[in-house]
Amino acid sequence: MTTTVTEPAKTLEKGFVGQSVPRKEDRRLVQGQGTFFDDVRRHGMGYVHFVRSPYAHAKIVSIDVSKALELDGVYGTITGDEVAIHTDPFFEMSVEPGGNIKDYALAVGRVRHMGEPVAAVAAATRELARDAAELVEVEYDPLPVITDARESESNDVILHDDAGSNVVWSGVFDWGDVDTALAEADHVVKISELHFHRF
Amino acid sequence: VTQPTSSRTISVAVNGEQIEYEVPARRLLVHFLRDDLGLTGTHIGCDTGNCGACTVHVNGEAVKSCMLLAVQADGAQVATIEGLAGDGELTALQQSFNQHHALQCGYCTPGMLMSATALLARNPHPSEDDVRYALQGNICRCTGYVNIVEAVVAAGGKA
Repeated sequence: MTTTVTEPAKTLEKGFVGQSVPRKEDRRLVQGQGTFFDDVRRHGMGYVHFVRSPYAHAKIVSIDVSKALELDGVYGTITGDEVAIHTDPFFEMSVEPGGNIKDYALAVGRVRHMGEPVAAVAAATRELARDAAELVEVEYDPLPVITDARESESNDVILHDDAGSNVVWSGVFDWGDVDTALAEADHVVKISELHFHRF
Repeated sequence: VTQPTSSRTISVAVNGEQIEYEVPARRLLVHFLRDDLGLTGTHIGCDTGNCGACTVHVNGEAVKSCMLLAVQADGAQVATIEGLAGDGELTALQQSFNQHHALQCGYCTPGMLMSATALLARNPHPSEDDVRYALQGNICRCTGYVNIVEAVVAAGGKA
């Protein structure tokens, strides 16, 4: 168990900090005039479409992109295995065992959630990329799935072999005088277990 | 053998300007707005109707433009974020967003503004609950909901 000790924020002298300062970028952002990455257009730009797993947990047996590459206007394809050759795994923020996980931009060898991208197709138009992605043939070998976080603790099915456990991080954020705060509180709400949603 | 129609010419008023355009029948309204018309203020967050970043008005109603084909907008009045203030003054709601720090990265902002503008049109003085209900289809990944709700309530005068 990791214990993370945090300190209370320091009180600062009244000055620039704590003042309400109008932001320079807000006027254009409320008018839809920001330039986000998806807003950038370049001559000869391609569109990408991802081939995604229909399974929550499966071994990827094979990926055949040959039919997609035959279409005129398809620039190229990339699969998880190719990603693993050309890139390093993402930096993991967690300590061990979660920090041992090898995680790439596309699924490598195995999918661990439904919709996980296994291959990408780039083509001249959005529609063509989508059509070409339909032609990518992926063979899966379905594996047992876990749909409950508490059940996953049994480790009957382990999602990341590199971590060796489904509990990849645990810790206690221990800060402040909790007992006094509880004693002085107007209301105390007790909740046995909180779940984070994904939004 | 007749081939199915793969494209069609649509006539649509976008921010007051009448436009005729030939679009592939499969093209989504959001892609028509962004790619064909260059109105990139309407953002795509999810492509699946969950996030609300692509919200526009079709005949005055807030709709997610990734959930509508461009051909379905044939004959309609479409309003996007670019048309809210145009070249003029920011609307009271846009000013309120700025004053209440109701945006951080700004990606969800156009969708939030279009949903909230539609709310204020049918309910000019919404309560906090009204605003939360009306914005439930808009996700802010900066999680700035408190200030967004405050900004809309304030714009309606029930601050």
